[in-house]
Amino acid sequence: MIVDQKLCIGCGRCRVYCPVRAIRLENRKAVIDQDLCTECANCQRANICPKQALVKPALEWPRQVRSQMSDVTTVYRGVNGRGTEEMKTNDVTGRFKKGFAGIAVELGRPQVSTTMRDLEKIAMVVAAHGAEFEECNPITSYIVDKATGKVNPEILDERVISGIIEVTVPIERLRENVEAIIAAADQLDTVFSLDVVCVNNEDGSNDARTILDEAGIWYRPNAKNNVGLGHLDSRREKDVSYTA
Amino acid sequence: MSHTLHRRGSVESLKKDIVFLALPAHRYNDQDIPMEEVGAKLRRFMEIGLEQGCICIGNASTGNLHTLGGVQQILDSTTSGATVHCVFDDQEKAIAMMQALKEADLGMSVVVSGLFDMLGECCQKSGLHMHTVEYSLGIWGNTSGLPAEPIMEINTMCGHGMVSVGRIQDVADKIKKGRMTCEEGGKELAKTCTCGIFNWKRAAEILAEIAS
Ligand code: SF4
Ligand code: SF4
Repeated sequence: MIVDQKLCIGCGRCRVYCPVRAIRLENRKAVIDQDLCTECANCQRANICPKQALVKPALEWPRQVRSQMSDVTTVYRGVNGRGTEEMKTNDVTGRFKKGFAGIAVELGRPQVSTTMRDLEKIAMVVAAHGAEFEECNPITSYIVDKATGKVNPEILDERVISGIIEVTVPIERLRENVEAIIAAADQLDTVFSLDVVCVNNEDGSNDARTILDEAGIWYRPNAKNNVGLGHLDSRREKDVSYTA
Repeated sequence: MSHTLHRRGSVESLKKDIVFLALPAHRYNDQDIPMEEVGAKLRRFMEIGLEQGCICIGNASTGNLHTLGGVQQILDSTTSGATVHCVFDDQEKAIAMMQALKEADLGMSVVVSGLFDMLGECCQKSGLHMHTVEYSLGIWGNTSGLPAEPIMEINTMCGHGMVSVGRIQDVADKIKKGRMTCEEGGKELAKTCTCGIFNWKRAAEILAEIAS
């Protein structure tokens, strides 16, 4: 995002809308720190500039990555936002099967933002522990070597509001992955929000929850629950596997 | 992933924060069902939410109450596949919502975020079963730059991070100076949460704490 210096009257209204505090006033004009700006467009979408001075220029590679990962209006493979349908449609897709768990590490969330360099550090940790990257996730498309978790070197300095590493692991490797991710946290300049997904057993128990309990790994009292109301339509004739 | 997860706050406060979302399964529902029919099902989901007393609705693809101008506009904008939302502030209403959704059998996937034990009770009373669960393991890494907890409680209600800390502090300041009520402040902050999942009522309560 840039500020049209001819239009800006320096009212300062835009400043507080920036999640990463990239906007400052200089000589009574708004100026945006281009290293910090994630191209999320929140300042512009808030529609508070009296002079329409906030301008989103056409972005070139690799800066485009910022907008793709940060602007909530971006649609990637049919889904708004930075992730995928993950467990939201698991009652229909069966993407997370019995015997497996999903792990999502959202770098930069909340509030701090992240570089792709920090994101790569965690991608390499889970790759080393046998995790499988989710194909439909936009971050996965930037991982050039799935065996090591290496990210395209051209984008390592790009800053995004957040980026989600989504992986699946055999349930018996859940604990080692979660512990390795948590152990790597102090190598980062940023924060991450961590979550674990698992399908319930028929008796209502959940294997991931059992493993977290046994390992003494804390989780919040609030969770996200797919309540099983989705189903295939009667018009479906053939089965397709869950691919992008 | 998980824009409705990772909300923070006390158990008492989170009791008043229940987010429902519905969406068609990509490559399944959206292949089998004509798009306008998918849109009608998602619209019906939000209408049921309104009938059961939700405090706001939103469509992640088209917008929220503020960007579109009203409830009717959100409903009218829902003509094809999207992720749509209804936010509740009361457990009994959430139970009624689950019962109504079960009866409507829209076939779209429904996810409910909130206190795990409370939602377990809601499912039991409405005859639903949790199929898949996503647990939040909290925030890790360099947390030194994070704001005070009440600000975080408001900020995390937009999972995409579009309710900025600066704007929350700005609104809290205006409330302290008597230039805005807490309810106005909550609604003001909800404007930049484009998905419409921001619980403005709970935000108003937290703003009152900050301002006192
Ligand atoms: S585009 Fe986003 S990060 Fe950049 S200045 Fe605007 S609000 Fe801040
Ligand atoms: S709101 Fe517009 S006019 Fe005011 S400081 Fe920001 S860019 Fe300049």
